[in-house]
Amino acid sequence: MTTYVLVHGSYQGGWIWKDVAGRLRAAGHLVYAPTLDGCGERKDQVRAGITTETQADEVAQLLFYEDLRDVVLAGTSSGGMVVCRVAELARDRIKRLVFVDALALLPGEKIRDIVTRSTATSAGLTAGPSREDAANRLFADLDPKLRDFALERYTQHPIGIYDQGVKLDSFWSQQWPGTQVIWCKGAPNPGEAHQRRTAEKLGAKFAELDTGHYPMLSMPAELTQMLLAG
Amino acid sequence: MTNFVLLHGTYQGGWIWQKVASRLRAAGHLVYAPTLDGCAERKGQARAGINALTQADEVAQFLFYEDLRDAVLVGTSSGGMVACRTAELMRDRVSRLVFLDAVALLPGEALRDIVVRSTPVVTGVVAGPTREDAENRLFAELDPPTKAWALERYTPHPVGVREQPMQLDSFWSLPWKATVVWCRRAVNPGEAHQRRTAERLNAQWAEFDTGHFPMLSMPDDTVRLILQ
Repeated sequence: MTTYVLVHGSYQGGWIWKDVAGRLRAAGHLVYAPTLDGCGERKDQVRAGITTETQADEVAQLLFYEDLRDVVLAGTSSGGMVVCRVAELARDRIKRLVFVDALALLPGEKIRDIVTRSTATSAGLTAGPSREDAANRLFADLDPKLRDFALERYTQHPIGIYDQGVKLDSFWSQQWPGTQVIWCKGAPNPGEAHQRRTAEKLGAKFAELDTGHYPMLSMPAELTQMLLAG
Repeated sequence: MTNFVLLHGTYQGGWIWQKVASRLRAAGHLVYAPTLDGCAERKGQARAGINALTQADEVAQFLFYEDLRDAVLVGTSSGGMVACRTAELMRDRVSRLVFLDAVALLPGEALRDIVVRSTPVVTGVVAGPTREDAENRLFAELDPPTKAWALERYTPHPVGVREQPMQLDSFWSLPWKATVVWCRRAVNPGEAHQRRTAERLNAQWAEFDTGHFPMLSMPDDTVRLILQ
């Protein structure tokens, strides 16, 4: 039995992993898909001061409180930034990392240095797409049933993760054997160059999926297989 | 396969259910043990305004986001208050309630009206036992490894959970399939409170000859009862 911790991205909550989590559990594994601070069912708790680092602190604490060891830590989209920070905070509890069309920033970089074509608009403490933008762009390649499921659930994301440059102390200078980087070819962002950079810097296995930015929704069987295979 | 949502109590986090959750998962069930706002790995987010109602709002939303149906809510200690409120907010997603030595308040009651012999130390927006109190009273009956494990993890609890009067709109007038467990060696909440909950809900009644942490001290019996 392997322990998987799946970290969601912007506008998402743990719900985004529901299908993949179910498949991993059916294969006999233990799966956590925590909703990050200010997201999903925690949207009403949005407040100033939520950043990648505060979200990562909580996930690192979760690994301690649940006493998880040999964790496969997977992140998608901006969840990749959380993964990098969690990994360096909880080094001895991590077995390997998976970046699922994810962002992996260098210290001081901000999301908008990488993601330039986002049409998210900010409103106070959060930023995110309008309903129309979500339906016609974000979730455009999903089948109608899945799209409705996602449209009912997507949420505005805490602004701090866009405004602040990421803080990483030792992540990029450590060895992370077995890391997988998965590039979704149909996704305009974060894009191939970013995925290649992550893979090169980490000496990671590089894989491609011929789908958009939500492979956990559009290709759950294939993505699960990749998570299982390592 | 049944969907179980296990709701921890005061000074706890989802971690308190680890023994029970792993046994339920091994039996083929889907188990969630969310850590409530301001607790355990979320202790860094403790702030004014957190109470059982705000915690329940989040759990209710969680049932929607995860699209859980026919969920069995299991609440222990003050997690029982969260279970009551979650149940009435998500009536159509909840199939059964288990109160495991839990607190189930009537509208307007506050936790401190029921649990009178507790001695938490208030520090700003949280309150909790000292390490010595936790070791010698709270977790006194646990075997040494389990006690050490719990002592590393217990956290002071948001004060609003203790002070905020309970708000329930329809919970006590709705029919629920429920089980109430009284832990005979627990000082709080006590037999009278458990009997009241059981009578009002016409619930199945069970007793455990243990203290207030049956999920740690009697995980097999707790699982058997939850699965009934």
